[in-house]
Amino acid sequence: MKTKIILLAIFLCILTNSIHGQDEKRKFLFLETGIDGIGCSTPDKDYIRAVSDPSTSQYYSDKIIALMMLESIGLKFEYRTVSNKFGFSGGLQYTRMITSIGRDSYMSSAPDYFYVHYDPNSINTEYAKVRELNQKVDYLGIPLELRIYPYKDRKVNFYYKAGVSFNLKINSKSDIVFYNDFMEMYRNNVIKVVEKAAPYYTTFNLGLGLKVGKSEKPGFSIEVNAPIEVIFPDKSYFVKPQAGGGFQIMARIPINNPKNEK
Amino acid sequence: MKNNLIKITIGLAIILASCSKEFELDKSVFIPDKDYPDLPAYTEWGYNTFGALYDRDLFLYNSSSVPVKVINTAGKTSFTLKGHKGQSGYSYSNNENSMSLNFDLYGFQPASFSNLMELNDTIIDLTSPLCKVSLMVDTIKYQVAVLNGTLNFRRAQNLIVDKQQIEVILSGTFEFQALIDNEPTSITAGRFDVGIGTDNFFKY
Repeated sequence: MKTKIILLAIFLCILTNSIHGQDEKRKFLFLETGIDGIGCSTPDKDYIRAVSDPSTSQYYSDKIIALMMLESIGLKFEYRTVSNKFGFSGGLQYTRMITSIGRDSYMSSAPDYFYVHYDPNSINTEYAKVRELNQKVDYLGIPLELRIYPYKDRKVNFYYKAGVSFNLKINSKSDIVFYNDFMEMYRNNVIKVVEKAAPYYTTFNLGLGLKVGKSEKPGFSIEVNAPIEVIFPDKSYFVKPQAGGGFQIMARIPINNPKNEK
Repeated sequence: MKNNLIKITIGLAIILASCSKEFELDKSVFIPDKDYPDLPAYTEWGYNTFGALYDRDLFLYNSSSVPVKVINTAGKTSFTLKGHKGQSGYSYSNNENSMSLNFDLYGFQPASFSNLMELNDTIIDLTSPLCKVSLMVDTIKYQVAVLNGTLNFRRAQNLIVDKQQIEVILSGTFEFQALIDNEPTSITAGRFDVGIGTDNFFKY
């Protein structure tokens, strides 16, 4: 098995070198923005109390649910090689992660709130009736991506993509939507029970892209990313993300034009 | 006119007081015990559950009965656990094999449910003359001659929702040996975690 991997690596090196002579080595700058929706595990928290009615069906849920949305903008540099077939890109990306815990009371008789236990002490068990717990977290990340352009360069082309990103937290804020407005004055006491946001996270994604415009001219691309897997460090945080999907819109600016340079 | 205004105000006050009931918190939450998975684990959250071993059988809360009633009358306060005798009792919804265990506490006179906080960290010797135990299975009431045992109110807490007291949570354990209908019987591993509020506290 190990011998096969070494032989494959040597073969790829020889192939790359043999193509190198006819490689155009195009370079591009991408300005991109995107939005992803990520599904999360059902929250299982000691401080949340809500009892699901066992008679509710799978269509009329009254469970507590968690949702995650990632909004991002970024700047990337892409370097293409092997006759413009492969594009390697890296850059900088700012992401706002919006997470929310609420109750799925849609089409069920369940109340649209749940109970949050706060201020624990020996005499009183205190709950606040809460509609939503929200967290907004800003991350700065480095995306690394590989794009495969298997088809001849036309005005409109499909391509494939695989990517990974490493993201570090720069800011976070938790928020509560109370059922009763007068509980606003106890906001700071209640918010203490909410876990901190993850200090960093990693994503893996696969995608399909649509490139509009020929490579030597500015153009744009639309990418559909699915699945996207979000991985937090192995600790307990506000939500437990699983996988989801999303899309990106990218403005593409060619930095060089090898045909003209020749 | 003034009388009407007073009546309306009192009516509104009653409606508002009844609105303070939290139906979601009345529901029972079953967390299985690690050692006895058929029994609810001992908790202190007001999960409205109780359970015990009646010799080798189960005595458990069920979904159709109010799990606990506290009744203060005639100089005594009764702490009554009502449920079911037999396997999987917590999901039963009929009256077959219904069972209730009643502890009469003499000398304890709570004026309202909030006075049940006085029971915090209280151990009651069930052989004491200030306590009487009785048992009802289906519609037959059995006299219980307690040989030994205790009822332990480990913790009493106020349950407060949005700064308003809803009920008092009583959590504790009980265990005793007794002659029930002249048959030696053991009730062991008893535990309860129940909420008592305006709907299940009675004084008359």
